Amino acid sequence: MSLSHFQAEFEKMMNRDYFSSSIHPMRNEAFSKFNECGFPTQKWEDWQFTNLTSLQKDTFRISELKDGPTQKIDLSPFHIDNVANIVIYNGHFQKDISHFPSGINLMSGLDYLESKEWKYNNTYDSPFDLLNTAFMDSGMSVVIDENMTINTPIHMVFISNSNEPLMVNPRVHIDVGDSSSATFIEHHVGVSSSFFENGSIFINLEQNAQLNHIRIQSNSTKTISMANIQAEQSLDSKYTFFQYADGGQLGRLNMVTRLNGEGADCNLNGLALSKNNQHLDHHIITDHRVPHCTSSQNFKSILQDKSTGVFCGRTIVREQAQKTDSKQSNKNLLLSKNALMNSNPQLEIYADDVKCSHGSTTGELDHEALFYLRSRGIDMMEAKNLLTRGFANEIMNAIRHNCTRSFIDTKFKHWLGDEV
Amino acid sequence: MTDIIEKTIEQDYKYGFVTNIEQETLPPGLSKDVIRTISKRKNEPKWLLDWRIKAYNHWLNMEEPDWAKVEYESINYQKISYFSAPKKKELKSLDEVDPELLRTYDKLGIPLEEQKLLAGVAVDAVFDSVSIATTFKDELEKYGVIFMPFSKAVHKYPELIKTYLGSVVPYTDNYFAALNSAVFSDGSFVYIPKGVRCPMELSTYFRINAQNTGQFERTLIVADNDSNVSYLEGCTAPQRDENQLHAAVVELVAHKNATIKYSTVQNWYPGDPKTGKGGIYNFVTKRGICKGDHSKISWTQVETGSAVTWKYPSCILKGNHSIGEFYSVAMANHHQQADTGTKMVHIGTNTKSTIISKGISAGKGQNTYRGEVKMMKGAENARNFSQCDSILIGDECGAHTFPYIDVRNPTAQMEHEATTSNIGEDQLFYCNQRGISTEDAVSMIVNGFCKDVFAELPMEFAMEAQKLMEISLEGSVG
Repeated sequence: MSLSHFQAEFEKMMNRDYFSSSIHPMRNEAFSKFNECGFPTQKWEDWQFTNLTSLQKDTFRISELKDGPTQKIDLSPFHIDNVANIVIYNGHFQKDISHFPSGINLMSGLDYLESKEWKYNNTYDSPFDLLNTAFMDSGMSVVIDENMTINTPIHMVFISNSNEPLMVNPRVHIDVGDSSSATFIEHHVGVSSSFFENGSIFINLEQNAQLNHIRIQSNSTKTISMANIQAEQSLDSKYTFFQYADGGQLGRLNMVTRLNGEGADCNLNGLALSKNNQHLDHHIITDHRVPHCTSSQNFKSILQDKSTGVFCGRTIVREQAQKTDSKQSNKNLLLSKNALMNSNPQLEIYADDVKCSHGSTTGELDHEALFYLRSRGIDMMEAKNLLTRGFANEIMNAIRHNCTRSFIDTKFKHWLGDEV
Repeated sequence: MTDIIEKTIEQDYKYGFVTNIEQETLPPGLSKDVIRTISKRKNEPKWLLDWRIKAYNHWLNMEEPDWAKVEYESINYQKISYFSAPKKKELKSLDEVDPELLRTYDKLGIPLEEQKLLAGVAVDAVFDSVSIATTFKDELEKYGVIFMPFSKAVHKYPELIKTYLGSVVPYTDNYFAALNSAVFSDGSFVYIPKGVRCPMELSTYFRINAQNTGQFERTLIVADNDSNVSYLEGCTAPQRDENQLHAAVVELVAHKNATIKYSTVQNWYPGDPKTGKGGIYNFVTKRGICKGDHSKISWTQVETGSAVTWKYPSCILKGNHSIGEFYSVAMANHHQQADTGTKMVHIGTNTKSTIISKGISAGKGQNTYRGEVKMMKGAENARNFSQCDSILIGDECGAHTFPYIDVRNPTAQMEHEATTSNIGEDQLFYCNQRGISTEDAVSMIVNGFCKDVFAELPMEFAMEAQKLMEISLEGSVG
């Protein structure tokens, strides 16, 4: 998709009458910035392993009202017990089948931005964040006041279903107030042909707030999925993130978490499963800006067939961020001769009284372990399955919601059953 | 504690002196004519001049890379003089060497005369581009080992040079390799014939002397089947205010069953300790290829000098069962910046590589490890182990680790681990309590930290390296 095509789509966007015009300056600014920097190429350090030509091949159009559901949406395949569903279909909010737990204040992204006088935390302008700002749909914002404990997880389901190449730019703001806590599950599913999803999520955790964020990326294998997540953390806040990704032709997670208040803790985990020609990519930045914070990055990939994977994690410890304790780990399992994994765990440290470690391993299943299992009468397939599940289990333990855990477990077993 | 740190930071550069020898220097500037002049002065054959010109043309179309995590004032390539040689030439014995020059070496601690007798090291000293004294010639000749200045080898063994020059680092490789290929002044050439174990450790000593001259030497080491060689390279440069560019190229070729061990101690002028002014830009391309099966290349480096270091000694493991090793200690004090590491490219089956990198940052120093491990498709059962540890001393320095890991073969196994820490108060307390002064304790801890690497250095260098670390770290406490 060429830049001129984006320009045409952008003009279409600007002419939509159901959006308030007060957002126009913001869109214009973002789009002109995007035009300046252009699409990332593999010459960019952060994009050297991610080939975006598939994105440029198709001409995506923005989602129109007519792309809404034509019949009742069957939610059963995405059903998770004990959650409140919020459904978004091809970028359109489905109010009639959405519920949300009491205590949260759900507003459209535009209302939210208006209430914030169009200011939001965005110091890291990636091209896809800019694209999202230029094209964002009305969006969803979850605002949780002070001292609230939201027990029912918010389950936001993003469904893509279209025969035409569509582009959606969902935008979510999550504000968790002082000493409040919540669980947020975003669930991306689809059966589309060619689809481009470029979502941005901005998270703000106030003092002592806690957010448990789970992301399930099971898009159709023809989807290009860009996820841009930025989180700002205040004093003593706690952010836990887990991503399960097995969908998308190209799936990339760009994540930046900034620890701005002392005592903040940030715990990021991810499991990527790829097969055929899939390319799944994790780009994770944790930025320690103040002393006494802890963070961890723990990402694993399991690769089949000709699939490729990338992990690029960076932990930055600024001069003032003394007494930082951070861990970074990336482990990858190659199940095929043609799979390729690029691992790039980086540390950038400017303070001296810190504890930082990182580790990375890539390899295949241990032959001796396989032999051990087979010598006890377990067949090859089952032995491989057992070991692969064991490999993934460590990271699955980071899912802090039992019903979601069992949902993901089932998905994982299904993936294994198909492939190993 | 801050006193001690400041004391360390104020440590002056020991080797900052200028030798007043008449030099024959080309005026600054780079053009085809300058290249022709260099080539003519050195009486080079036409094919080499053509190669230089090709490299120059390629260089003109290249852009200076900026991806490294270092900051420096941009280099004006027209302000550098590309050739500088001491005027006296064609010396028959050491006695004929300019006494001033010999004194320089004495100050550096490499008395040629004594080393000749005691150390058993043949020294091919490169003093601003032209080799002036080579020892132990006869002994080496007996074994058929060729160890001579590059410019001589071009005349004496043109076929060997033609075959191997640019075979590991082609002139198209990178910006600085292209520049070097165009203007390289001299360097060393080593050839170890089949089945020969080189009877002594070979050594060169590089030094940048004349103001505004870049040092562009080229080293080529070829180890034929079943041979073995250990090569030492030491570097120091005197104190200058303007930054000097050092863009060297080192190529190693190891054939079947051959082993090459390449050790470097680099102690170039790091720039003014307080302002960071001056100092050497050390932009070096070093690469070895394990061509034959069961061959081995081992890089060991101790980097304590230079204002900006940008260097990645690499191994291409092409032969089956070949081995690549990289042991490095990089120290960045004052305003020094180091972006260094290695590249291991596994192509053959059962290839193995080990990376041990120790980074020490003090003062305002920035130390970066950047390494790549690549397992190609055919690299069955390849194995890599990388360990990158950093110590931070003082709160204004930085330590960064950027490993790049590409695995394309599932039977390949790779591990990378890294830690960053300071010298713990409890460690110091433990030593103090047992009557060891804080200074000694730090020196002990840092030496212990670097032990894995120092153990890989040949005797002579190990001593020097340990001393260098002690000098530059005296009393530093985190």
